[in-house]
Amino acid sequence: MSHILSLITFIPLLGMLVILCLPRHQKDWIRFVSVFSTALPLALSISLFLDFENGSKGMQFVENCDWIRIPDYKLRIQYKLGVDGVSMPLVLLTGILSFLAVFASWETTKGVKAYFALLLLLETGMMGVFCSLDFFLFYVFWEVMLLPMYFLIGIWGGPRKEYAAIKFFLYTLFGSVLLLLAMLAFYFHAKENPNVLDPMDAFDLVRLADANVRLTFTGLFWQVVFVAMFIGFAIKVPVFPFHTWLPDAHVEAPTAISVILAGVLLKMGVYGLLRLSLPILPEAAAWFAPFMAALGLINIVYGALVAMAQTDLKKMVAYSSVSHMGFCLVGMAANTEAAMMGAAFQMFTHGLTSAMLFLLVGVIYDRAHHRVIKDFGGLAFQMPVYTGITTLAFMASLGLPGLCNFVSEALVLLGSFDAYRTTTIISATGIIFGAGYFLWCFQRVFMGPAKERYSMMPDVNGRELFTLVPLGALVVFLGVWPRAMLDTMTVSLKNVQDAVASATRGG
Amino acid sequence: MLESVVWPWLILLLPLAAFVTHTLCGAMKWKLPHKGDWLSTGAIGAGAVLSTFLFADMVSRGEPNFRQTWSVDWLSILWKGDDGQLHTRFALPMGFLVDNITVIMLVVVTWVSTLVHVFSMGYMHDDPRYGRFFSYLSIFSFSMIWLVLSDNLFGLMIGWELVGLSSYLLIGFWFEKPAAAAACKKAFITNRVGDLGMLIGILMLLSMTLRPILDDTSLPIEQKNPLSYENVFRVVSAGSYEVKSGDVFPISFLTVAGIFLFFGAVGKSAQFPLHVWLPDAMEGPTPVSALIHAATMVAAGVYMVTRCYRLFTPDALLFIAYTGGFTAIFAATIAVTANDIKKVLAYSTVSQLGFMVLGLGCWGYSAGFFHLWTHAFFKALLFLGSGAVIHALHSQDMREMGGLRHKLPITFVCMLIATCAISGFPPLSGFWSKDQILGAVLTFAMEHPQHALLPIFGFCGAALTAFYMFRLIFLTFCGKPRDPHKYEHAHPDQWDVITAPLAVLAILTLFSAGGTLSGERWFGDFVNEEQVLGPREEAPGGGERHRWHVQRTVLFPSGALVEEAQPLDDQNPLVALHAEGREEARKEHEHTEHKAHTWAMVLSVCVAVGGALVSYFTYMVPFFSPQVWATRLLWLYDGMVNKWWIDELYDRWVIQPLLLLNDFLKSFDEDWVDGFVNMTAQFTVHFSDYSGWVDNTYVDGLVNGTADTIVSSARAMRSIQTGNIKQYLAAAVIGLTVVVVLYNVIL
Repeated sequence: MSHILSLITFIPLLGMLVILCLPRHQKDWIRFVSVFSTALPLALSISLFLDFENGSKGMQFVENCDWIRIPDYKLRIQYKLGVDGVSMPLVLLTGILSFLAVFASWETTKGVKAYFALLLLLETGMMGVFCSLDFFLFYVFWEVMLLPMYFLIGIWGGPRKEYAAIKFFLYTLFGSVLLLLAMLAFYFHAKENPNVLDPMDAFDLVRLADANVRLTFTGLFWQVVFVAMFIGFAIKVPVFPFHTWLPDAHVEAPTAISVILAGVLLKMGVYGLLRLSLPILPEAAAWFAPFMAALGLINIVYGALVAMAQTDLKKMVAYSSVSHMGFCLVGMAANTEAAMMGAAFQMFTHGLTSAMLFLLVGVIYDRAHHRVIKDFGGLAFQMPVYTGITTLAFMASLGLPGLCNFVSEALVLLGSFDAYRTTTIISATGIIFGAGYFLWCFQRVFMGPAKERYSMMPDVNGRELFTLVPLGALVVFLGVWPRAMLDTMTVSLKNVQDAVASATRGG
Repeated sequence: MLESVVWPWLILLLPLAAFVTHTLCGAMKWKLPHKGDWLSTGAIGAGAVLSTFLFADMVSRGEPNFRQTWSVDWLSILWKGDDGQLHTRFALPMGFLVDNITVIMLVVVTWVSTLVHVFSMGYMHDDPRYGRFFSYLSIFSFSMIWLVLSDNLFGLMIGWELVGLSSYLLIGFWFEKPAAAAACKKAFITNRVGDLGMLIGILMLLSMTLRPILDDTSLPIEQKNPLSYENVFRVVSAGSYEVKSGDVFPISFLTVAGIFLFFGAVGKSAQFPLHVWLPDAMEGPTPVSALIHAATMVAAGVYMVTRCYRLFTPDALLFIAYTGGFTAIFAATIAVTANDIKKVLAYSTVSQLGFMVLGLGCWGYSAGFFHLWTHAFFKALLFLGSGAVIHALHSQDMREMGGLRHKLPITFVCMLIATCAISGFPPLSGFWSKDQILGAVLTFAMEHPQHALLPIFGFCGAALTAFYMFRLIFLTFCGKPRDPHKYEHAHPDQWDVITAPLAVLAILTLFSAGGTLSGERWFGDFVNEEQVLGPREEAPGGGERHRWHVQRTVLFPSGALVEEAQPLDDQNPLVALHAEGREEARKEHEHTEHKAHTWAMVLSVCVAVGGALVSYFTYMVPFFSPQVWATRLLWLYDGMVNKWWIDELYDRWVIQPLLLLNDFLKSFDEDWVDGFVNMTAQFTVHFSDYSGWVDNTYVDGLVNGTADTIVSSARAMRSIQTGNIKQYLAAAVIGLTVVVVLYNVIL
């Protein structure tokens, strides 16, 4: 049994412990340890990607042992880790973005020790969520991640940081409670029907998704459970109308944290749906699919329209996330091969481009100390390289072919059309609005005559390039050769899709 | 040599390599000698030479329907079968399809592009971003060639959007000008609106083609592409397009799909009502206008209609015809009053594209495409010529020109040739192609008299074309200089990189149609519907149903498919029924066609000469005064000058409402959605305040009250506790006495 997933998950935690032992003023040491303890998981997740067997149907790299065991209550919580085609790309994404986040935070001056310690703890939480195959363990990591995020926004954030941090924390916690209730529902269901599901396995996600087990989750009760779980995850995605924590958290969070927030945390909601809701409660999922498609549609169009009205660059990018995550929902609701792949791939591609966008916003904020779109202008003169990279990121975001977001969004649209015609057509207008707000913003920030007040603005420096170039390269590479990632996902997504499809047919 | 797939590969990838080299060198701050203009020019020049070889090979073979394909498995939807093997559900491979129309498009794109590259070496010479301009030209060339080579609709759409990007970059090349910055955004977004329609069209086609592929798992991989032209044509011709009884609208699914698909062309080829971006796109450098906004990219829509011709039902074609016809005359009216030399050419381009679309819509398959071919050369020439004028004079306003033929003789001669061509003077190339279009339109109208409006559009448009083009020539080159100062400072023509491409294009303008009376046939021999897409045995207008049933047998003239399809078709009663009348109908059609073409030729020469003469008598000999006529026809003049208020209409009814909606949604989001969240929080805070108060007042009050009672009673008790032993003793004695007395009394 390889321990690669445990290593990926807990090396950052070890790094955190090392940092806590270092004296406060040894800032270079702290940064060095952070780099090292995010580089190792990145290297390991790359090897995970390379060793991943595309055709395999089940979980890979599984680690399993009992963690808590109370035989009297038939309660068993496993330490069970494993990845499949849904989670492996997200582990890789987390590895990449955490590593780059360390460099994006390089010039943090306030409380360096605490900052990096919390950042590493955050990575452990995120990795744990994507690797867990036990509901309880999943829940634990889900909560672990919340704490460092709260402090990272609340201490290192912008002017309204306390408000944003508390809002983020409480909102997510509210979702967690619903998840907890759902988790208990499974346990008590198992206690009542031990012949179907051994209560000892009641938290085992693989066992719960088993064809014989999931067929017993039928009826109104499980629809309620599904909705509870959906709200829990929807807050994270975020789905309209649960999205308002996002712009606040994004605007107030420091750059690196925005990157993590948009790049990884939003994906957890969709991941939760793909890992828990759809395969375990397929019948309820099939019942809920039209609502999910409608919510996805609202996300896409509403997010884009609100993004167009923003005056703050970072807020515009935040609302663009709302819009783009809608495609994941539409894809999952449509439940065809192409749409599912689009939805899953959209998680990865949006992770890359939104991370780029927030890094780029950070670059300009560091120099101009404001983010008001209309106060910029003519930046293409002072910052040609920055302009070039922004063009790439904007074009990727608005779905230009040859760049990765086009592939995922096109797959969603191609796959959803047969299931939800009107929804798909209206969703597709999102690509016009997307072009609208990105290009309008580009015009106001970069084009027009050069402004005197920005004449001394330096172009991107080496450190910033180091964070942006790998993302840009991946955006182009996956746009040109999406199979590199798509082929790893296919089989696992097919399982999810089959589960829901058979439930649809059965109903 | 055509068997080798290396050739299209090279044509495609050389410009990409040039772009990548430019970008890398730019990022690394390496300096290329001459800023790398030779790199881009060489790349596309090599492409031009290779395309010419392909073209020569195609012509020398004399075999019109050759085709070769090559594809790579770009994206497939896999699944694991019961046998444990991975199977492809369906695939979206990327591939090339090289056939007649591809080769012709390649020649157009690479040659015009090469000449524009050479021209730019002179025109853009002093620009600080000279190198970047060439890198943008390279990415454009790559995108356009990709669009042309692609063998499937998905690939077409990729190229479609990529040329949109190149167009965006090049229109906004002088981004410091606010007008250019606005224009490039407008171009991209307007095109996206068209692209959305095209996407919907593609999705509709996909929903027709995907099902058979998913159902039949034994298909070979190359037939699993639901969007390859071949598969789409096959499914469409197999009949899943028919009107079902009980449908709400009496139009078939395929008609709707075709109209949506055509919407892409409306955007890209600047047809009404999405034409608004093209005139604004003239804010880009003039070579860009020549290359992208006249000769190649805007022709992509026409190419797409040509390529997907079999997807358009007769009803859809009618829609296409009216769109094109209206655009042709609509844009021509605006061109009449424009004073900016490039704006005249821009509206002329819109109008000419309308002609192409009109021709295609009226069943003139080769006519529309032929006009694309000839128009590319003379319109590129006109734009480059206007660029030469602008370069010499540093002005675009025709009111500041005049008499320039003495200073710019080469430019004048070249532009005059192009003007004669676009006006349709025989025997120049434009005459042949326009004549074919008008012939097709007239044939169509003679067979369907209810559509008589179409030839009226066509001939009036042609007359207006001659009028405004000669107006341009007269105002620019003839008469006396109206701005002597500018005239004095104008650089005279000389043989250099600016004039040489003009001369080459002039030669192409003269001879691209063949040049002699019989010469125009060669194009029709290579590009006609029957050769490229297989013969059509029914006379046009036989109705949707008939056309498609007959076509099924003949879509693929070679190969096994025909044999498979044949027996099915013989059993089809409709085909049998119409087989008898078919020969007769064909004869009748040919007769009408012949008659129409004769009339069209006479009429088109008449309108061309008439338009040119009116122009002469207006602008050279002051017989008609433009001012007087403008006041006489004020309402018309007003509309023309204001471009029929289309931009204002969009602003008033689309853009402003959208911005209002955005602002409304923003405040809705902040005040209501987020407001609810904050209200919940506030409620919680208030509630906890209240419960805190309750807790403090009552719950804790009870506790404290208990404590207080105890304390106060204890305090009261304390007063008894004096510490005086006599009192204690007295109390004890009294107490004991009471107890004893009570004990005795009770018992």
